[in-house]
This record gives sequence, C-alpha cells and structure tokens, in this order.
Amino acid sequence: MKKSISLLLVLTMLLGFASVAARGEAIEGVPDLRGKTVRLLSMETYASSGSFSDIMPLFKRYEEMTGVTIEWDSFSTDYVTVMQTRLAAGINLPDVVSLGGSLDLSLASKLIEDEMFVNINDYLDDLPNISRFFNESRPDIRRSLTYYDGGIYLLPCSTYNNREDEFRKLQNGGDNIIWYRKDIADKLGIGCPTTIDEMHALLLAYKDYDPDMIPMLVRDWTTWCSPYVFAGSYGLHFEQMDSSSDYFYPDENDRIVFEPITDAALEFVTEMNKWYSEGLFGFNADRQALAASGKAGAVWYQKDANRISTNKLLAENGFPEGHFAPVPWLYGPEAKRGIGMRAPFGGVVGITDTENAKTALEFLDFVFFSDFGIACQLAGVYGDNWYYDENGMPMLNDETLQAWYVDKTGNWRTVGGGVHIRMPQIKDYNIEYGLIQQLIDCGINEPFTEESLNAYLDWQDAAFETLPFMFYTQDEMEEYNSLYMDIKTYVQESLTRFIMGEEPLANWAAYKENVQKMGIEKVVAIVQSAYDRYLSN
Amino acid sequence: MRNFRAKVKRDRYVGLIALPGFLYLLIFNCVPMAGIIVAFQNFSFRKSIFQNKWVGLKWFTKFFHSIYFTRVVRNTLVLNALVLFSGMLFSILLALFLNEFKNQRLKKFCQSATYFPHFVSVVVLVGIMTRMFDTTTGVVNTAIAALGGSKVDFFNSNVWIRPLYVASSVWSGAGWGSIIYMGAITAVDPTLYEAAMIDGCDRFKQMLHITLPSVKPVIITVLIMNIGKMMNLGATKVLLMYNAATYETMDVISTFVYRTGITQGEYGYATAIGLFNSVVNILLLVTANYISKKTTEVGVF
Amino acid sequence: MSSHKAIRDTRSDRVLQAVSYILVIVFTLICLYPLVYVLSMSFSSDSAVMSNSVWLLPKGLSVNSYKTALGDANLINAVKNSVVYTLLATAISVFLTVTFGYALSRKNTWFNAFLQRFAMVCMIFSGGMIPTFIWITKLGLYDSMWAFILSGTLSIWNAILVRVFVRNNIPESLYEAAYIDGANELQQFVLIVLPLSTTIIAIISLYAVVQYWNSYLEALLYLANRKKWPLQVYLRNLLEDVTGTWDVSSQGDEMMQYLANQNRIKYVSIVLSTLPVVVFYPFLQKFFVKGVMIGGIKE
Repeated sequence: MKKSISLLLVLTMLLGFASVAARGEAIEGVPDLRGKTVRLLSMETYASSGSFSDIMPLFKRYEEMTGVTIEWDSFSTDYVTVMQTRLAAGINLPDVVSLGGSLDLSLASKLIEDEMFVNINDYLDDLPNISRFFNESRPDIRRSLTYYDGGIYLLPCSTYNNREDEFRKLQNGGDNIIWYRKDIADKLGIGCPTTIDEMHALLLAYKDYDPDMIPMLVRDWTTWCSPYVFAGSYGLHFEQMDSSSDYFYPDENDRIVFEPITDAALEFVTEMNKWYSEGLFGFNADRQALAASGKAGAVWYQKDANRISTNKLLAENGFPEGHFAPVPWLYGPEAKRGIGMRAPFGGVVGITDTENAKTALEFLDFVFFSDFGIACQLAGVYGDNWYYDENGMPMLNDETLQAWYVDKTGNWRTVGGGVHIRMPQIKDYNIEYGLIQQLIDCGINEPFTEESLNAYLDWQDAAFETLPFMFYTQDEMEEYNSLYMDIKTYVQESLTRFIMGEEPLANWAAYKENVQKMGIEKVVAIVQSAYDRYLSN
Repeated sequence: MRNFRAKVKRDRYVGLIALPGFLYLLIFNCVPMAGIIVAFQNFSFRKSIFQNKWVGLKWFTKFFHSIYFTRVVRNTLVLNALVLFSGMLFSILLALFLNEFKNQRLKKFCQSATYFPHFVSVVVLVGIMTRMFDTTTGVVNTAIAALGGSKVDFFNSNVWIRPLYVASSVWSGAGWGSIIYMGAITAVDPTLYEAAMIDGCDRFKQMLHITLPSVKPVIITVLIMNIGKMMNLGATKVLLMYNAATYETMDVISTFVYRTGITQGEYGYATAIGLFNSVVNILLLVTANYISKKTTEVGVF
Repeated sequence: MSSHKAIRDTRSDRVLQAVSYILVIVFTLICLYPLVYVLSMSFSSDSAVMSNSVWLLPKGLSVNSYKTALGDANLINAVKNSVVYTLLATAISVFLTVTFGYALSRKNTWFNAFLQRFAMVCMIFSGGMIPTFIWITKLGLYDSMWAFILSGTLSIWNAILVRVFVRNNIPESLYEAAYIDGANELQQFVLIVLPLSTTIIAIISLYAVVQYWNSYLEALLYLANRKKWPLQVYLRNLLEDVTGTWDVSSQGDEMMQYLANQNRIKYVSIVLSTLPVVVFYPFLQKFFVKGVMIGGIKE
C-alpha cells in the first residue's frame, strides 16, 4: 500500500514537472533588444526590501528574456523636484520618465509643449501590444491622451486593459463607502439609512447613545476622505478635494458647470453645516483603529473593509457583537445620488527624445502591455511564482501562496510586480480576480461577505465617471492657471468655512459674486473648449 | 595710488587667506546666480537658459495680483518672526541657565539631550503632534477634558494652529540653537567673574552684567542674519500641518507657490518668487543692520 | 568656563540655581520624550507600531526594524559613503569657513568693505536649485561625490559667526604685538588666531558634520549611482516617506497601512542620524573652552 502511494506521488510529481517544463519558456512576442540599453526614471515606492531594481527578480528576468540592459534611476521622496531638475538640466536624460502619481496636467503639457517626449504614434507599427491597447481595449484612454496636435506623447499608468463597465467583479482595496455600526442601530431600532435625512437621524442617534463616540468619522478636510463624501447625494461631483480633481462637470447637454457655486452646492453646504454644528463629524487619520476600538458610529472606509475585517478587530477589542455594515449610496433631497469612479488611469509616463526611445518603447510594450507581461506584474516571476493552468490563466504555485500567507502586504512587490513603481502598470480584471480567488481559497484573503458583495453592486449603480483627462493648449493653460488658482483656493476655503460655521451661510450670495468677479466664466469657457475638443477626438 | 599699492602689499597674506573662500563663492555661488534670469523668462525644459522667451515682469504681476498675495506674505513674516523671537529667547535662556549648573555631568547630559529634537525629521514630528493633539484620542485633549475644559480641535483652528507651529519649531530648534551661545559664554574671560565675585556681585548680577553683554555680539549677529531670512519659510512642515480650514493663518508663500506653481513646471514663476523673497530679505537685512549699528554699535555688515 | 568657586553662596544665588535647574530639566525632559518615543518605536514590533499603541516604552520588543535596515548588504556601503563624505566635506568646509571668516574680521584691509558686501549678496541671492545643478553638471561633477560635497560647503552664515568670534576675542593689540615680534599675517593667523578660536572651530565642525551626515536632497540630486548614496538617502529610499498630501494617489487606505508598516524604518533612520552628534560631541566638548592664551598678553 505504502509503496503504491509513494509511486503515485512520484508519478504525480514527475507529471507536474513535465507539465511545467512543457509550458516552459514558450512565451511569444518577446522583443529582441540584445545589446541595447534602456534608462528608466521612476518613482519607486513600497519596495519592501532592497529597493534597488537590479535585484528585483522580475526585471532581472526581463533582462534575460529580451537581452536588454536596464539602468534604473529611481528614487522616491521629492520626486517631482528631482525629476524636474534632471530634465531641466538636459544632461543624462533618462529614457522613460514617470510623471508621478497624482497626474499633473500642467506639468505634462509643459513637457510635451517643450518637445521633451516622442510621439508614440510614430512607433505604433512596432508596438503590437500598445496598439492593441489603444485601439481595441481602451480607445477611451487613447482619446484622453491625444494631444491637441493629434500626437500621443504619454502612456497611462495604473489602469486596466479591460473596460470598467465590463467589471462586475471585485477589486482589491481602494475605493470607499460608508460603514455603520449595525448592532447599535439594531438596538436602537433604526434600519439601514437610504437617504441623507435617515443618515442624519442615525448619526444623531449614535450621539445620544454614546456622547464619547464619533458619529461620523472621516479623515480630514482635503483628501478623498472628508465630509465632501456626501456631495454625491446632491448631484455634485466633487467628493474629493485634493489637487487631482476639480469642480467642473458637464451637465446633460455636455455644458460644463462650475459646481461649487450652484444651488445644489448651497443645499449641500447647509446640510453639512447643520451636521457639523451638531458635532456629528470627527476627524482622524487612524480610522480603522478608532472604528475597531468602538469609538465610531459610522466611518468612511474601504469597500472591502469587511474582508480586511474591521469587524474582527471589533471583536478582539471587546465588542463581540460589534458589526459594521455597508450603507448604500444615500439619496439626497432630489432623489439623486452618486459616487465617482476611479479615474481611468493614475499617472503617466513619457519617453524622452533620446537615441534609446525606440528600445524603451519596445521594452515597455512587452513588459507592461503584453498579456504575459500583465500576468507577471500581477503574479510574479513566471515559473518561480506562477504557471499557466489549462485555461491559460495564471496560477500561483504553493510556495508563493505560502509566502503571501506570511506577509500579507503583497509579496509580489518584492519581486518587482505590483502597481507601485509608477511605470505603465496595466492590470487585467480577469487575471486579478482569478488571483484573489486563489488567495481566498487558501485562506489568505477573507472571502467576500454577502454584505460586501451587495455594497459593490450598489456602488456600480451609483457610480459616475469623473471628468476625463483633457489637454489644454498653452494659451488656455496660461489663462487657466492665472485665473483659476486663486479661485480654487478661495472656493476650498469658503466651502470649508461655511460648513464649519466660521462663515455664516447668509454670505453665500457674496461668495458666489466673488467667484464670478474673479473670472470663473472665462475658466469655464476654457474647460468647455477643451471638453468639446475631447468629445470630437 | 601709491598708498593703495602699499596697502595691497601690506594685506597680501590676509588676501591669500581670503582667496579660497572667495574663489569658491565665485564659482559655486555667483555663476549659478545667472539663473535668476529665469525669473523673467518663460522657462522651457528643452532650451538653454539664454534661449528662453523673455516675458519681463509677467510672473511678478501674477504673484502680486493674486488676492492672496498680502495674506501669504503676512503669514510668512508673522510665522518666521514668532519662531525667531521665541526660539532665540529660549536658546539664550537655555545657555544662560545651563551655565549655572554646578554639576558638570548633569550639565553635559542636559545639553546633549536638548540637541536631540533637531534631528527628529519633520514628518515624524508632525506625526507625533497629530497624535498628541488629536481631538478624540490625543493626550492633550484628554487632559483638558479631565480638567473640566472643552476639547479643542487644534489642527482645524486658526487660533491654535499657529501657536502649535511655533511651539514645535521652538522645541526643535532651541537646544541646537543654544550651541553658539554656549560657545560664546565659554569664551568669556574667567577673571572677570572672579573680579565680580570679589566685588560682591551675586551670580544673577554676574549673568546680567558680564555674561550677557559678552554674548551680545553673537546674539545681535544671529538676530540680524535671521531677519535676513524672514521671507524664507519652507513648505514641508506647513504642508503637513495645514488644511483648507487654516489657510487663513498658515498659508505661506512657499505653500501657495507649491499649490499654484511648482508642480506645474512653471519654473519661471517659482524663480520670480524666489527673487522677490531675496530682494525683500536684503532690504530687511540692511535695515536691521542699520538700526543695530545706530543703537548698539554692533552690526553684521 | 565661568568659575564656580563659591566664596559665598548668597540666597539669590541659590534661587538662581534652583530656577536654572528646574527650568532646564523640565525642558530636557520635554526634549527627551521624543527620543524615548523614537527609540521605543524602533524597537517595537510591527503590529504595535501600526496600531499606534506605543507611547513611551517599546511594545512587543523586536529588533525587526534594525534587522531590516542593517541586514541589507548595501547598507554597509552606504555607511562607508557617509563617513567618507562627511569627513572630507567637514574638512573642506571648516577650512573655507574659517579662512573666509577670519578674512572678514580684519577690518583694515583694503578689500574688507567689498568682501563684506560680497558675502552679504552671496548669502541672500542664489540662482536656485536648477541653475546650480546645471552648472555643477557642466563642470563635469555630476554623479561624483565632489558635486555633493562642494555644493553648500561654505556657509556664509558660519563664516560670519567665525568673524564675530574672532573679532570679539582677539583684540587688535595681539596682532600688533605679534607684528612687532616679527610675525607676518599668515603666521599670526596660524599661531594666534587658530589656537584662540578652538571654540568656534569646534562649533563649525559640529555643524558641518551634522549637515553632511544628514544631507539628503543634494545627494539625491547629484548622485545617480546608487552605490554612491550616503546613509540617509539610502535609508529613506528603502522605505518611501510620502509626506503631506502631495503624491497621495487615491489608492486609499491600502497605501496608508503599508506606510504605517514602513514607519519603523523612519525611526531607525532618526536614531542613526543622531549618531554623529552622540559620537562626535563629547570629543568636541573639550574644545568648548577658552582658547589657549599664548604669552599671557593682558588686554
């Protein structure tokens, strides 16, 4: 008996090896870059060890496969300063330049205008994967990135090669929703809120229940996690206040509206002011810790917090019946609701006009845009970390799964994958979902609860597309910059002050007038013309 | 003329000694100064400095016309002045008091300990502060509540955020800043103290009439030179501490420029502001120097 | 050193003493708290750091942070770089600063007025980061330690401090006396001024050591080859230090958590950044004495 089992085991092992070997290195479409060099200037973050890419196995493998030599010029802090300085000096230019995480349109435009980057269109014949990406998978991104002279000078980072509206599956981390303490609400006989007013009532109830608890916990005033998260319920589209999102949005007739001076904005601010003066808001960067220690009634937190288990922590902290449940997007006074989808891409990369430009593009084309490359970015080094299963889907091997079991923060980052080196990291929903499922199956990630799932689906229904990324001409840019910067500061400050009660709401009309006096009409016209251009692209 | 040649001959060694520093400054300070020209240009990444398009005073008018111009300049000056005076006060007092220590080991220990905050990076410092002064969980507010007061939202309050900024800056810099005063104090002739003691002066009087006046030149020099830096306020700490609710008191020139200029590659704009700062700085410096010379006869230049 | 040979300790003396001790010790404690905090954080376990539960003493004692930081082979290289750069740069810096400061202090030279104004202009006006970078690169110094060492090596501020000290402590009569004895100015400088200025030289050295040991942006800019990086850059790059609200992409809390994890390296790097002061300072303390008088010339 034992003998046959061991024989069976040996046979299985042999078969296993054979199948792996058979799949082996038969990867198609590998460009031949022997003898060439490519120099990458990227913002490298989250490297948990070493941090120098010449020891990142993934890129070592790429070097072997293509024969190219990679020179990394990467560093993290003060990236923008250093990057601008190096570019301005014009010496030792890197071949591929990442423009940082929060995409800065002005900087990108300026660099393009100064002819620092090559026109990718000129090379598309030699770039099968990038062509496919722009023409078949994501023509919307192509549209966004086309400069007004028709050229494409940038490649997108942190995006998907399938479209968002095909996506009804689950993403890893990121976007946020409102979570509320269901156990307390149940005790008080309050059901899950669906409108703003019901939410208000719930928060007041939390305050009565425990005066030391923060009814609605957000992070601060200016990031993605602020009282502005409720703006969507008023038909407004500016729930984020950081620099990468603005206050302009097209209405049903594709006319751009400047939202912070609309009546809807006034309604929103009035309501928030009421909430603020009733002490319903609390600000803290450590939302999970606070929520988990029972100090928060409702919290704005990641969609899949259930999976990352704020609930489990609650239990550990002495609230065994403690339970956070998701709140569906709230309907406002005019039965509106909305939550912004993630921007189609986050960051861009340009190829400088050096003699290595073609090599660089071919390299990027293979490493980041090919199916194989995408799989590597998500799963690790082929052969060492994953293999193709019979359906052609990447499967993580046991060793990798075990490693992830030990270090949940994403072991694949140590091999050089993951989103965080600000290169055109393209992802694929199908592959990503498959990997997440593997992690769930082996107990590393918690399975999604029905609550979470429902929250996601509800999110889909309430989602709106954010204002697309658009280019302005140099003249437009100048006028926009000269007028809008002050307006933006003024608006941000005013809205905050109105909500905090430092500025009486009676001054709204004066505020609106000020904004108009500062020239908002001209700015709207500029955005409008850029938008019209975008639509006709 | 002959007189001049004689002088040159007479001073040749001092000239020699001055030479290395002077050459260094010429090469590494003065040549890059030509870059100031960018303040009047539309900077292009591609072209060299001398080929950029000339736009005259455009950047300056852009800055001056902003409705926030007065506010950011005011905030910069106020914050710097507060930090300067509080910091110097603390540093000097620290040096004077440390000087009174009899126990040399304790003195050395305390001295070294006060240097430490200088090395705590801004990020960590602000991180500690946000935790300590947090409205819900911070020690400070917990203590306030325990004593019967009502909790204060420090980081969202225009009233409190400045004192917080100043206090933390003083904390960071007082110890390190006292080094120079300690040095000046050690240079005081000990026989002066002995003489004073024989005359019946107690230590407090000694401090007032011997130590302090001896350190005065250093104090005034440091003060004047710092006044010559009043327009420079780094953005890092403010960026970490402020938000839209506190723009009114905390938005300074560098953060304003950061939000509206630097990230956009408007390098000419940033340079113009730098030039403006420098011009104001030098005016302040010359004025302070002049006043000081007239009143105390000590001047930097 | 002020003399503490107490002939009589008056009551006000005792009050002054008490006040001094109390105020300074309180301030010392306030300064020490973050030191303790940072040390504790650097010795705490990851989960303790992440859950922000460390206040005074380490929780979950662990040397993980140090293991991560020190276990890297490249770290030794970075430390070696730092030591070399710091020593070289300090030597050059002190040389330039002291000579220039001395030159500034001699009021009667024909060029003194010019030198003063020149120094003032250099101190206030600067072309900025980009022109300096371009120029240094044009000099062929890019990616060489000299670029990093030479930028900012003569701080006029420090030179002025030297000037103040020298003027304050070395009376003209000393120079005259030496001149009468046949010493030319070079000899005066070396044999009289330098020995009497040990205090300020020590202070300037300390400033220079600290500046170069902790230098970050210059190294980042001028040293492309990572093998040339000094310690602070290496450590800070080891784990990203995203500050403030810029460059926080809307990845949300995933990034925040990861950052919290990496906080520990921040604390290790602070501990390491104070090392030169801790090591260097006692050595310098000896120089914090009035310079040796030669010949006992009375004023």
